[in-house]
Amino acid sequence: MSEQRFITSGIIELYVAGMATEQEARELEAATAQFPELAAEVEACRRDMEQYIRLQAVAPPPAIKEHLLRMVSDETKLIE
Amino acid sequence: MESDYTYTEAELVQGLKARNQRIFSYLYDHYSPALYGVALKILNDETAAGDTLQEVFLKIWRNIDRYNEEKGRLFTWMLNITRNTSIDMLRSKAHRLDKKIQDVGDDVHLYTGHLTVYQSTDHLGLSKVLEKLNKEQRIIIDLSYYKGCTQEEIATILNIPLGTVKTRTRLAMIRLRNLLKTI
Repeated sequence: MSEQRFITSGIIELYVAGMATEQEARELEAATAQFPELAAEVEACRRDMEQYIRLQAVAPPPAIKEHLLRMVSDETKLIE
Repeated sequence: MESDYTYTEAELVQGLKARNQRIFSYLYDHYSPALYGVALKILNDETAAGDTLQEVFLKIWRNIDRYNEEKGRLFTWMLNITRNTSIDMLRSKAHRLDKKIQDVGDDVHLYTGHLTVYQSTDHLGLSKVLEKLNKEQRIIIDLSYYKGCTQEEIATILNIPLGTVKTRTRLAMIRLRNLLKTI
């Protein structure tokens, strides 16, 4: 598939939305490695999707952070 | 909670690789709301989402050496870990397809309270976007991104032909991208 056909086919949108088939994803990934402009298109679409995700951010319960920091600190001590 | 100094992604990666716990704490403060939002949307259960968030950050801490900046940004990598971990958790809970669609329909209202608490500007932006996407466009995006549904599953859920799923997903994404430009 040519670079332009990838852009007009809608595969980029399906791919970023997580709905491309494995084969479609493989083809697109191979093509982005070859064409920087196509890679930029995918990245622009991904950034927009990530903005939509950020809009749905929710503060997690504070206890999770305390617990995590304790686990990470214990793990680090264990390694040292 | 937040310091004035903001780190670049490269500085964060470097700090994590150096096992810097202060950087880890900073990373958590800045990214946990977005990642928790994803887990919550996928699992629709606060306890499961909290457990998943914890697992996600442990994976980030333990596997940072596997992160390759040439393959994508740190945030994209962390989002992928969050989606995969949450979807695994969802599948292990053996959710049925009809439960998936029910979750998508319900959660917009369910989480409004939390969103207001987190950041009112973001919440306004989200309302604006959600208002203008029609329900089917919202469901298509959410089922594919958040629930990890395949094209076939979405065709079954919405009772539309497979080819139509592709066309409508594309239109929904284009509409979403245009709406994001207005906020």
